[in-house]
Amino acid sequence: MKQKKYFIALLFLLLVISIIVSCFLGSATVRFQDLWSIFGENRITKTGYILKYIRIPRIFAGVIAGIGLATSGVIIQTIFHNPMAGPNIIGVNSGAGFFLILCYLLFPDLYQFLPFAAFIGALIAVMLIYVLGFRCGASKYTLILAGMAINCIFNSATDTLYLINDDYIIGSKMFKIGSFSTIQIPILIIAGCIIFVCFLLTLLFHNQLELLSLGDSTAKSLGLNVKRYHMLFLFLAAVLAGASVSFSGLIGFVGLIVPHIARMLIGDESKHLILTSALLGAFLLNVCDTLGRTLFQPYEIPVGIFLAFLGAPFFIYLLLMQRRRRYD
Amino acid sequence: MIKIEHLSAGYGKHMILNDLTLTIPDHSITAVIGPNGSGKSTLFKSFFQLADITSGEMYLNKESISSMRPKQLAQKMCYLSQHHSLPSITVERLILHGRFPHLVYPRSYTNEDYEICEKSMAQAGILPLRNKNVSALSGGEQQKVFLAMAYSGQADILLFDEPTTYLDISCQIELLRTMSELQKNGKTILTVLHDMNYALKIADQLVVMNQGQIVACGTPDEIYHSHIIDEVFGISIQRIVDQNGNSHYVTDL
Repeated sequence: MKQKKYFIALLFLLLVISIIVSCFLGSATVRFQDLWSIFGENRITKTGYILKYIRIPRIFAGVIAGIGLATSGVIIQTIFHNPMAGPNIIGVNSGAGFFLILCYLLFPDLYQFLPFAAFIGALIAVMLIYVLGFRCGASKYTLILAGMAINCIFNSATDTLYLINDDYIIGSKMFKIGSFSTIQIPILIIAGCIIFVCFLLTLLFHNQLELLSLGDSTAKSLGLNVKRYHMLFLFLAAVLAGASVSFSGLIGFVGLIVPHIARMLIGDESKHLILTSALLGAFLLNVCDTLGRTLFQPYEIPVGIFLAFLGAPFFIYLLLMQRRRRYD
Repeated sequence: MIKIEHLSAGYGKHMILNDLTLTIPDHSITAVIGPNGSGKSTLFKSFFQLADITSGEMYLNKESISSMRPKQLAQKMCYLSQHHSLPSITVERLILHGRFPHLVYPRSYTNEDYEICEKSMAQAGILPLRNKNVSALSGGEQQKVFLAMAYSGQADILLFDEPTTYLDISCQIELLRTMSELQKNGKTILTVLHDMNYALKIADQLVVMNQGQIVACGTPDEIYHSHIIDEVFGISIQRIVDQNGNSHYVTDL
């Protein structure tokens, strides 16, 4: 138990270090005075402005999106008892993306409502899957196939919106891949607050989530109101994914793979799994975004691409290691 | 006392149980036997509304079970299902969840819960496994872990659906002895058993089910002499009395 707590503390430390290091990496050279000028009473330096209004919001966007998407992934995989489920696989992200773009096109001035529009889209997608899975008794594989179909529908609907308004076609690429290069601070603040509250709620109900991982019949026989908690957790998953998509675009990898990596590292105990996934998601997104914007300067590789190139081989490595350990 | 009156239940449109009426006395062991698909598990699931009840009512001490809150029911009745999802958590953590019905706000386990959990592990003989991962255990060990989880709930009524599954012969006998002890300590046990010898020897009341109905209910002696088991299962069951006067029930291959 203590080992797990130390491990989580270590992850937290790594995240903090990665945040500090990221502040100093980028096209503009940052000195300690610049960083200090943001917090101090003296006049803010020129680089301080870049730091305050571009780099730090971007770093926090990575951290917040990582927490939101990874936590949403943990919830979805637990509720559907399906390791293949993830917010990007079953159409939650694309549902959020479609409603976000729709809201943006219909009401361009109401940008503060974008996280809510994304949430509605994510909720619709998650409820469709829920109804399909639990009402129709669909198997794990049917559920994934149905999710992919829903994903396809929302993606096509989003593409149609782009075709109608071809001004947005260039932006659509970044949105689909997932990038923090066009972060809008007001949206980030709203989405960040929403994600923070939902993450705390998920953590608060970790015992209930763990009970659901034992199977619905065991959970029900232990006195858990399974239906009510299904709804609560799916609502939280939709809010977390929707709010993340609202400022980061369709970053697919985090919600699916990060909970898996966390499970391999720390097991299924919900409290540890939620914390580890969130920290790992935040760390991965921040590191990948920092590398993406610094390695090939002045060009920038969107975080979604970098994450897939870095994270997928690491995930395969972990799978192989786990297999080897099983046979040893 | 549990009373089931004219219960019909199933899954969606597929009806399994048809007009079941049964009384389970307090502090007794009631064994339910019947061929595969006769509705034994559905009967157990009906208590926790894991099956769709279309008509009839179930009562626990004259209180309708359907009107009870899930937590209230779980405090009084514990159900060990036939199949379990196996999370990658420690044995101790899983058994601790048996205490979930007793949790109050802020819903974190107390020292008392940990003590009860420890006693349950000792009762099931799995103390050395406490820090092991449940998913890494053998089938028999996993079954013992789930039994310990059931014990930790300290419910007065225990529903065991095929509890001897995966257990080796010595563990099966150990479990049956534990059941007898629990009964002597005031628990009411309702269990599905496939081994006729065990069922006829351990039960105070035997319920024979076939095609979603109760075809016989009585003491093991009454059931044995009625030859209903032979009829339902299509076998011939014989009683052999050993030199100590103990009865054993055997069948031809």
